[in-house]
Amino acid sequence: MSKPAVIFGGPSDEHDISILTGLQVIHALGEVHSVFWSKSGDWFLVDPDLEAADFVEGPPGRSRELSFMAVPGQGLVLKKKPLDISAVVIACHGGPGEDGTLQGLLDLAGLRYTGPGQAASALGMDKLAFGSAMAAAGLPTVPRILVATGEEEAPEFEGPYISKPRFGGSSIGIEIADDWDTVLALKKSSSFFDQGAVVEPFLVGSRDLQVAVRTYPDWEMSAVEAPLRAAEGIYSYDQKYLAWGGEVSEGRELPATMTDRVAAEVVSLSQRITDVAGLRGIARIDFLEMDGELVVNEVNTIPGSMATYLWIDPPLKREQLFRDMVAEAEGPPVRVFSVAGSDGTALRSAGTIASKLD
Amino acid sequence: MALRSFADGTLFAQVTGTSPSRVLALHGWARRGSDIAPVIQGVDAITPDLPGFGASPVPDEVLGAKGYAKAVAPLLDECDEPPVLLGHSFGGRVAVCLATAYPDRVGPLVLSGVPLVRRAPSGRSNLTYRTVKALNRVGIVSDSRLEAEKKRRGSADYRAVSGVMRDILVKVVNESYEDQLRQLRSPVHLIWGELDGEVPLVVAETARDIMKEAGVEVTLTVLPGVGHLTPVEAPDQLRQAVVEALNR
Repeated sequence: MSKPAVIFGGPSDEHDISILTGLQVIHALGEVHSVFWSKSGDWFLVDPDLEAADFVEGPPGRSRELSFMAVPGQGLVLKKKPLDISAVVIACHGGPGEDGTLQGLLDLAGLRYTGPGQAASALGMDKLAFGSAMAAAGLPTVPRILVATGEEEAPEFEGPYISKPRFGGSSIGIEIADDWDTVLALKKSSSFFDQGAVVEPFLVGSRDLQVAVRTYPDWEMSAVEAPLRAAEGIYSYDQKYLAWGGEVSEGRELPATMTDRVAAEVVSLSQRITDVAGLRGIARIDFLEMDGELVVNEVNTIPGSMATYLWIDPPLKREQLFRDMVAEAEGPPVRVFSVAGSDGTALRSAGTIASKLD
Repeated sequence: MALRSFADGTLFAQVTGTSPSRVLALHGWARRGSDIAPVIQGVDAITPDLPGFGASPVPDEVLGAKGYAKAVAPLLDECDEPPVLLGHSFGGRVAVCLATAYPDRVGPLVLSGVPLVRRAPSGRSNLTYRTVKALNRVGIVSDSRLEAEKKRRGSADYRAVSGVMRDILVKVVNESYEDQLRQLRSPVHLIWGELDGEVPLVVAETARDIMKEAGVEVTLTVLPGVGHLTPVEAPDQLRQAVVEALNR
């Protein structure tokens, strides 16, 4: 019987968190193929009733090994027999599950999936490209520049600076630096900046505003959350010690108090960002608010817990959110490859290859 | 929470309040400076990410607490007067070594949940582990099997690290600081969680007795109902202890 497959885990920094999200989706949906993607990149069909602790040491006992065939009609294959999948729920945070790699693989296998397509996924994970796309579309942003190799000149804006790994979705590797020399020293010493670092002015006194959007059955926006943070920094000791899950009641203001003008701006900007960034499924958009002005910070195309905790207004149950997300994925695919234009005319009239080489 | 780089970019620290700093705060194992910084908010302080934690790169060699003290010593240049040292857990070991290595440049110590003396080991290691280790030595059991066994039996801290940082952990876990405690010239305030399960109160009492006997000025405050994570569980009491030390 055709049913959704939930892929979770994956070779990423956020492997563990992805397992938590995946199991939430699996337990809520019930009838699914439960597909565990290991840290080493192997695929397993596992019992949908497993708990998070069963994955501490990697693939649980009695996991059945799958192979992935990037060929239409194949996909995830168990002993030469493809799983009958109606759509894939991608529950992977960070790394190849969120950055477009997996999406591209599923496109090639002809499998439909939740969330944005390959290109939009990649855009969401590239802070430089995302920031540039937002700025080019005329959306409010802070200047965000690449800390270029060999470029030691301080940017036009002043510190303190916030430096971030160019690629990646988590807060790992993000540092606030007092001065430009410190940014350069961080670039040199931090392994998180090996793939590039971006830097922007750190807005002292700003606050985060986060909101979830979904694109099916209609475009809709959740309540707005203001995560509380330490006076000057990104995270407080307490927040780091709180159990992950995005469902703890402390450390956030939900719904956030804000002026009517800011509230209206969150809606209109979120709609535009959905278009410009190509969002699909459930995504989270992060803004910074400073003195009543909003700037777009980043998007998370596969947010932790699928950001279900934000849907208090309108109140939407987790199961409903997941079912709608699956229904969207089961609809028209994000990407259809086309061979139109390659009807053989060019081949027939080509003559010999040798004549082309002359 | 903004960082500054020191020691040619090998050490990152946040400077709070105004310079020169009057407090040097040292965080525990697997934490970073920003974890202990809220404790000393409002105080002129410098709070490093110890090497291998937070933004500070992993050291090239396997350092003990003495090596860590040497690594953070350049921060003393940021202080005009000998600063108060606040040390939590592993950071306290570094504080004690810093105080003995640079007695003239260090002021009073406030130490919380610090493994200062090694407790008697709880008997021999597990038989399976000893067998696997012996078989590995003669080449019957693979390195990866031994590694798996080590990970299975190791502490959470041990399992969480690899490479140089694991060697450092093994080194410091086996260190004891009786000699340094006896050499201290600065007054010491031990401030301990009554329910500290990681470094029980008996460690503080033993350390206090060693210091007293050696003529070190030492006081012990027990925080009722508090465990090992005093920077989270009792930040106000820690801050109070730091402020008192500043006013000495």
